[in-house]
Amino acid sequence: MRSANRSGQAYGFLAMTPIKPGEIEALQQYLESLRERGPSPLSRVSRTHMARWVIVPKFHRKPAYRQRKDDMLEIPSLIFSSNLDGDLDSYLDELCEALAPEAPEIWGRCIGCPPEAKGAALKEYLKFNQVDCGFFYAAYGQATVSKVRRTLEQRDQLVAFAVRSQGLSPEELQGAFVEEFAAS
Amino acid sequence: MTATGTSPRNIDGQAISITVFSTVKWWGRLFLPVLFFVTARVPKLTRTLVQLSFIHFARWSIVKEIPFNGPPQPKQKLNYPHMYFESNFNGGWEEYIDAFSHILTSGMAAFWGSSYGFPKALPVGPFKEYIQDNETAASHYYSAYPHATITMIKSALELDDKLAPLKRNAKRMDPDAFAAAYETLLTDAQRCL
Repeated sequence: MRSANRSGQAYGFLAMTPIKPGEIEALQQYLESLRERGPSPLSRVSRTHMARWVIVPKFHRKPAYRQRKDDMLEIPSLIFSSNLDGDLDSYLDELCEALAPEAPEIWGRCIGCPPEAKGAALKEYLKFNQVDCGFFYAAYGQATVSKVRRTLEQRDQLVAFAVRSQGLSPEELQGAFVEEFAAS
Repeated sequence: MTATGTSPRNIDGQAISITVFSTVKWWGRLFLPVLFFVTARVPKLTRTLVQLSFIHFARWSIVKEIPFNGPPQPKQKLNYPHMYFESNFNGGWEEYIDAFSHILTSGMAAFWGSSYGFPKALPVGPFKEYIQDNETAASHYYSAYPHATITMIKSALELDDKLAPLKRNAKRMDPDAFAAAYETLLTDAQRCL
């Protein structure tokens, strides 16, 4: 059975967790300050292409929408969404391990989060609150993060090599190419 | 707001995030799953999305219920389904919405036509206002390769395929044959560089 969460080898994960009363401002401040603290903690989860945390305080409604009933979120929610490589279970294992220092400050502020906010218990919590994709699109769904990074570097490397190797004899060109790209 | 037309919190290098919730009419509960199912299986329907070449990842989800995690969370029965949309793209917010409106006009009508308040994709002014009203800025956004655009990534992946045979065979080739193959590669891969 094909999963709507998958496009190629890429997987779209989304968890929506309810924020504890009184914690929304502290959570917002903490998440916004992550940039000032150095590289994103998500950079430690190597299979993450792109990811986000979003605080959803309410669902929007305007009189012009002609929506008959109100439908407020009774409690603000934290969304964690990640576009990742491969299978979800092993990814969440890595995520819950790598984010152990930050998770208590993030999901620890959400209702139902396990007290230690790490490991298998946190993983189960995130899976319990998963929202499946209806439709997931990945422009290069067959390429992993490491492949994208490697090929981007290789592209720069080839451009530099092409400039540097102008005027070399066939023997010199071959030797330089092998050393640069085919040494192993 | 930044020069890209969105909050700095939605940006990591070249990558920009957009997150939108919209409330879905009763018939969307039936229609949207069919639309998603068909769109995922008929490549022709996503061809324009692929050709636009500025979206890394995008997703649409239907939130029909809020999982109950125990007190103090109240048990909540939603009156309507809600559609979650996110995109990870490069370029500017304004250009992104413009392209969606003008190029994916019928697609927008299909995906958002069942949402309350959707004003049609064109004219673009009311559509931008609708998206802004329903958009929520990220609190933290991350890209693993923030300086790369989709075009750069696709070019790099294509170049990798073209380069692989020469990398594999370079050592055992005659120097003149290698030089000719290298020139052919550069000519062939010019648009990837």
